[in-house]
Amino acid sequence: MRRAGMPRRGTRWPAWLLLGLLSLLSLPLALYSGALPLDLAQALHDPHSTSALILWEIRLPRVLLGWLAGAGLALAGTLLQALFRNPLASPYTLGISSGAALGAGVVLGVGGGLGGSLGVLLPGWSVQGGAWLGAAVTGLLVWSLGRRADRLAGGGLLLAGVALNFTFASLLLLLQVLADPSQSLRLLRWLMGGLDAAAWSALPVPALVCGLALGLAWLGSRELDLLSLGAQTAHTRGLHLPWLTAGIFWLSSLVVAALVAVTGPIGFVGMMAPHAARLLVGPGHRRLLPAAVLLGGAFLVLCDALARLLVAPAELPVGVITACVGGPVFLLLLLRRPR
Amino acid sequence: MILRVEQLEVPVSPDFVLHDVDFSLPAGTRLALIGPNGSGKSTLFKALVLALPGRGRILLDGSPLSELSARARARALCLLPQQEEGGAAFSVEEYVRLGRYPHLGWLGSFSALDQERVDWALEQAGCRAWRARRLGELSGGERQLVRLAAALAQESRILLLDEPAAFLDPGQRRRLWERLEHVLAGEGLSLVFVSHDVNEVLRRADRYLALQGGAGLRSGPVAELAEGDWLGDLYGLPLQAHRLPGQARPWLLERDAAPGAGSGSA
Repeated sequence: MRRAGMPRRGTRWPAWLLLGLLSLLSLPLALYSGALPLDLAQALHDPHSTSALILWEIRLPRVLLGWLAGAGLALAGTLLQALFRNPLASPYTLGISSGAALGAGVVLGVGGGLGGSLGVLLPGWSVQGGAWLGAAVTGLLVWSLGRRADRLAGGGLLLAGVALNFTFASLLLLLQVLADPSQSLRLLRWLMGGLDAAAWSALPVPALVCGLALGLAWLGSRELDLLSLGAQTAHTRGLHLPWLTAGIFWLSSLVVAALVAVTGPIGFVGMMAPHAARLLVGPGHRRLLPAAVLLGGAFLVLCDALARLLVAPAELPVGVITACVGGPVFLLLLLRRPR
Repeated sequence: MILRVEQLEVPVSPDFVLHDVDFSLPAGTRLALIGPNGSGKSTLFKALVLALPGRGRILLDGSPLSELSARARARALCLLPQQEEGGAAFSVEEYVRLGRYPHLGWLGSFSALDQERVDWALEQAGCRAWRARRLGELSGGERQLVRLAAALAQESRILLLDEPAAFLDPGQRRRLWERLEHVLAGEGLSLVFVSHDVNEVLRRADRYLALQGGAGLRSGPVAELAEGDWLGDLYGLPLQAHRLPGQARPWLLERDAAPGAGSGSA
């Protein structure tokens, strides 16, 4: 009666081998992908060559940011799915990504001609600042709505996130209509998510936030396991839920804010990577967290490589690729998932 | 360990207040909670496990339950809810190991003693042979035994079981009770359980507490269940006690059902 796809104890080494190889191979593969050819030997020996410029200033920070973003979104998705015990929980569905996007959209829209009172209120705000603020405000809204509904276990918080998601999507459309055409295009491009803004300076904050969050989450993996059994069971095993649920929610919101501020909203990674990792290594978070992080990182790096190759010398927003690849793969996983 | 509930009053919603609940559970006692659906049985369990705020007192060996940490409460009380949604992807052993949580240190390190206790719980619940199987692969009866194993691994002194045999066939029901009673007697544990099967209550419990509309109605030794019409009135069902030769306790059957032919469930 054992269903395919779920590993038994002691048979997980092929999964780890697959994850390790995928992560190791995705990075050099992505470094070599792009409109311009990369001569690695030249890049390493001549720091003033074009190849060196491509490697050190363009590709490497971009690949690292891609890996970091994929890993961070997968981490946030894993945490949120444990919190809500819902496969649809992700930074995207909870509205945190949309909130960050709206924050960035307001800044872009204001800069692009909405002007007036908002322009006075937000002088000199960066897109990243707007995204941070948007994610924080959304997190606060979702959290307080969920608490007011007092239906955390019943998915109240998730529903609040879904409702806010729709509202923010409408407000973003309004911003696009009101902004001038060039800014509207810029906003649309940003909303699709991308890694083209990658630079070394963009890496430290997300790296620090994601690293800390992963460490904390891994230390709490038993608590996450218990939480995934349901609030009542978690309670009866002695888990103090109010602190834990608040901690998970804010930790994942922080990770999403740090990433969306740099890359724009990138969908599907946060929802799909935890699922796929669960199928590979099982539901225990001590294994699931590193597996989801490895998978999410490799997936986004490979998607970004594809985004640079498909319409070279131009490039597609990586969010388009993650949605196009992730959507069908996710459906396939849903159809194959165990009871 | 003695659990004492004194004049408990817990407002659950604007329409429902658990009130006038009063009972004592000496060590080794088996108490059955009875009453129609919506009478507050599961709510009482929640009030105990979560130490829900309200009036009255819940005392464990004389100390207020609400003053204990969540882990300390879990070491004293373990609730096996009627249904549990998650955990299907965990292996049986992984799931039972989670029962050790209230005994683990800050970093969740799992000692040889913890593993020993998990092995013991798997053995006692009769699910050692399935330890590598996934919970989602098991039948309802097997899953219930695994959940019992997790509860035993938790080493709580008082077990709270919400309709533990509700979805089991008669054979599985009997095996569950036999294993449970073996552990209760061997470890000196106390049991509070909810059941709608009055004959099961008559045979498995020492005492009962009847609830109606959120209020404690009456309590006493289970023999009182067969006295008078009050139990039938509680469920809105005419019940009659039938004594069978060689059996110490009577069977309660619906009045129009012939002995041996009817269901004992109220």
